[in-house]
This record gives sequence, C-alpha cells and structure tokens, in this order.
Amino acid sequence: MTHTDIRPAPQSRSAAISRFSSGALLGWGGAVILAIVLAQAAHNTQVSPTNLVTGAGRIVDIVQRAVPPDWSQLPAEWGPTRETIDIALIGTALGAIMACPLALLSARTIVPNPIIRTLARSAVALLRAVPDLVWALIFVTAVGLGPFPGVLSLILHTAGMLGRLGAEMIEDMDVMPMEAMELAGANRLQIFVHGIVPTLMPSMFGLILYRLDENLRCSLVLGFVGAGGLGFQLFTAISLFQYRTASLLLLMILIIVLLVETSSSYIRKKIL
Amino acid sequence: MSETTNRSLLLHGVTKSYETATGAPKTVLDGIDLRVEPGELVVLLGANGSGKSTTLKIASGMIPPSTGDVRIGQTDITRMRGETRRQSRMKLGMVFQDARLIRRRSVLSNVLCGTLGRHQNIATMLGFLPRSERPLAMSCLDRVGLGALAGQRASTLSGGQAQRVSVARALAQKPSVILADEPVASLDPESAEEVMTLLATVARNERLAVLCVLHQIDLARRHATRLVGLKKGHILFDLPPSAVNDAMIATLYTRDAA
Repeated sequence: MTHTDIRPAPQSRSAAISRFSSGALLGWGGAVILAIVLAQAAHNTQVSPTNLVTGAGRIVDIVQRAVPPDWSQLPAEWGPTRETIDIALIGTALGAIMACPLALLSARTIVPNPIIRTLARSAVALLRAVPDLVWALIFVTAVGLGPFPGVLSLILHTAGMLGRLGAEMIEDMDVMPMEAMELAGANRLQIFVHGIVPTLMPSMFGLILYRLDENLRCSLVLGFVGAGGLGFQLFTAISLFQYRTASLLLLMILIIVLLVETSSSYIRKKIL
Repeated sequence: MSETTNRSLLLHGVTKSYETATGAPKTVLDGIDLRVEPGELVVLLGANGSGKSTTLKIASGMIPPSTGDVRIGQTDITRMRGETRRQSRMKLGMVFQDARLIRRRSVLSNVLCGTLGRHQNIATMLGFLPRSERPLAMSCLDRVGLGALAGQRASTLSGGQAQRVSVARALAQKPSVILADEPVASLDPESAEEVMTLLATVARNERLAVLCVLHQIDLARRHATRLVGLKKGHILFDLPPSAVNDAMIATLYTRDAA
C-alpha cells in the first residue's frame, strides 16, 4: 500500500463513491426482481388485456340493460338499506366494546405479564387474520341466513382491528401525566378513568368512526354470502339478471357510503 | 407539636448505591443530611451526575435509599408500602420539568386531579371529579394567577402557564412539602422568573417546605432561602445565597483532575 493510499480524504472519497455505486446497483437489482415477481403474478392470475378488450362489448351490454335504474323498486329497498346501516352500526359498537379489554391486555405499558399479553395478542391476531367474509360464512352456517351472521362477523373483525390499533395507541401514549397522578396519591382505577381514558378517547373514537365507515362497505359484501342487507339484495338482483334493480342498489350504496364517509371524516376532524 | 416538626422535610444519612454493569458498586449519594423547614425554598445545585435528581427521587419515594431515611415532620416515609405509602405521597406535591398535565382536560379538571388521593370513592372511580373540592381548586388557580383560564383546555396553555397549573395541582393536594425537579428547564427566561417567584411565594405564604433542583444559578440566588451544593454525592455547602460566592459555585461544576 502506498503512502497516498492511506490518506484519509481520498480513502473516504473512494469509499463514498463505492457505496454510491453499490447503492445504485442494489436499486436496479431490486427493480428487476420486482418486475420478475410482478410478471409471474400477472401470469398466475391470467391477466389478459385481450380478454378485456373482447369482453368490453358484454360490459357495455350490461350497462345498457342497467339504465335507467328501476326507481319503482326504491320503496322496497328502504328496509335492506336500513338493515345494512344497522349491521355496520351494531357490529362496530359491539366490536369496539370487545376491543377495549383486548387492547388493554395487549399493551406492554398496562400489562407487564408476558403470558397474559401474549394470549391477548394472539387472540387479536386471530380475529384480524380471519377475513370478515370467512367469519360470515362460518356464522351463516352456524346461525342461518340473515343480518345476524353479518353482525357477528363484523364484531369479531372489528374487535381484532381496534384491539391491535388500540394497543399501539396505549403503548405510544405519554405516561408522564399518569405518573404525576400516581405520585399525587390517585389509585390505579382513578388514573385509568381520569388520565388514560380522556387521553385516548378522542383518538379511539376517531378510529371507531373510521371502522364504521369500513364496516359499512364490508356489510355490503357480507350480503353476498347471505348475511343480509343491501349486499344480499344486489347479489339476488344480479343472479336474476335484474340489472336495472342492481343499478338502483349500486346508486343507493354509493350515496350511503359517501354520506357515512363525509360525516365520519367531519366528526373525526372536529374531535381530534 | 410545632409547625417545624410537623411540616419539615428531613433527609437523614441518605446513601444510594447502584451496581454497575461490571458488578462494581457505585455510590451516587453518600450520607446526605438535609433539612427543609416550612417557608423555605431550598435549591439543590450541582453538575450532572452530582446526585441532585437522585436526592429528589428519594425524597419523593420514587426510589428507596440504600441507607438512611426520609421524614416529613415526625413520620418516616422511607419504606412505606401500600395504602400508607399512598397516603404519605399526598403530603408531597411534585412539580416536574414538563408540567405533565392531561392535555385534553380543562385546567380546572387537572387541578382537581390533585385532590383524587383524598377521594377514594365510587364516584371518582366512575370518572366524576370531586365537586366539593371545586372551591379549593379555584382558589389554587387564583393563587397561581390563572383563575380566568379554569375552563380552558390544558393543551392550549403556554409552557409557563402549564407549569403554573402544575403548581396549582400540587397545592390542591394540600401538601406539606413541594419537590420541584428542574421546573424551569424548558421555559423562556420570563416564564422561568414567574415560576420561581411563584414557588418562593408559595413557600413563604403557604408555609410549605420547597426543595427544588435548578441549573440556573441566577434564579437560584434570587429566589432561594438556602443553596445546597452537591458534588459526587456529597454536600459541599448548605448556605444562604448571600454567603455563596462564585468560586464555590465554580467548584461544583469543575471536573477534578483524575
């Protein structure tokens, strides 16, 4: 090695250039690997632009048969509309109640015991991992067709989602004010009620509203497997080739989703 | 029994040793004797690692001493557990570097939280704050000059205002002693002056023993009744501000030759 080789400046320069080159190489390599993975995914899922082009005529035909919407069906669809909203409401509310103890038991800052925490986290993971559609299929088999299996599946999925997010929120919470309360002589329940709940409640309420928004969309899909509401009506209309009724239902779904989305986002902004 | 014996803070022969990662013991406090009488604002000075915060943590019961004891009046609170420990904590009002308020609650609710220790009943455990304590909480807020902000949310307060609310919360505890851990560290000079004036006034007017850790020498000189200099776990001096000169202060902050 020559004397000049060990001078710090050129060495750090060449190291920097080498790092830069290897960084660029890694970036390109990653892009190539990603392209290969996506190509095999497209092949596996039979993505075919040709089929889309040849099928376009049939889509246009369905759209033509779907307009104008069958407005005469409007009064008959109020009941299922209310049912859809009710499924989302009760599913979200009971799911949120079930999520509270799960979130508390999953949070490291609340439960130091690793066994209890692992059990709670496993339950939360299971509830989240099973899609709500699968829960609905299980409950349709267990309790029969109708809105009830839809409600049950939303409760479980909501409990899983809110349980996880709630636990993260609790762990991220600033505990210093609670420590100050403890030093002032407050007991654990008082610290929870007067310190933790007011701190977490607005964010938790925001999450619940967001979940209500999601659950409304889910409850529509759940109807396709027999769990009641507008989804069930839509599935029936499409199966019976009643496309004008189907377009009416889609329009109603669009309006409800937009209404709930707008109002929940307005309330979230107000409380956060 | 005299006021002095009832409401003074006494640290007697307090030692604190830790075991380091190598297993060797490290003494952070070495036989500290300190007494703070009602009406006094005693300021602890010293470099980082001198033992100031450890002294305050031991006095507040957050950590136990290795040897020695802490007394409020005649009561030894050093190794209390359970309900008696909770009761003893109520006699100690804490003011931290950050105000530690519940940001989403009103100023008044935060002050009322300081009274919860006296109200261990169903209503307070269901989320109701003790109504009977409202006049006291309002008077505490008036004493720190923030009565007009009682209904305001704590998150809207400035740093100085929040710190004054935390003093009001400590007063609502009806404490015998107030411990303040760098209460002006995150404040601008004007707010720092306000908070220290408030602590000095509280000590004098409420006849409370106030022990405060500070890094701002000027503030300490202006407001303290006594200055206590700590270095390497030992008290170098415990004197009125007028008797402490610059050389003594410099000794606290200069590193000794190895």
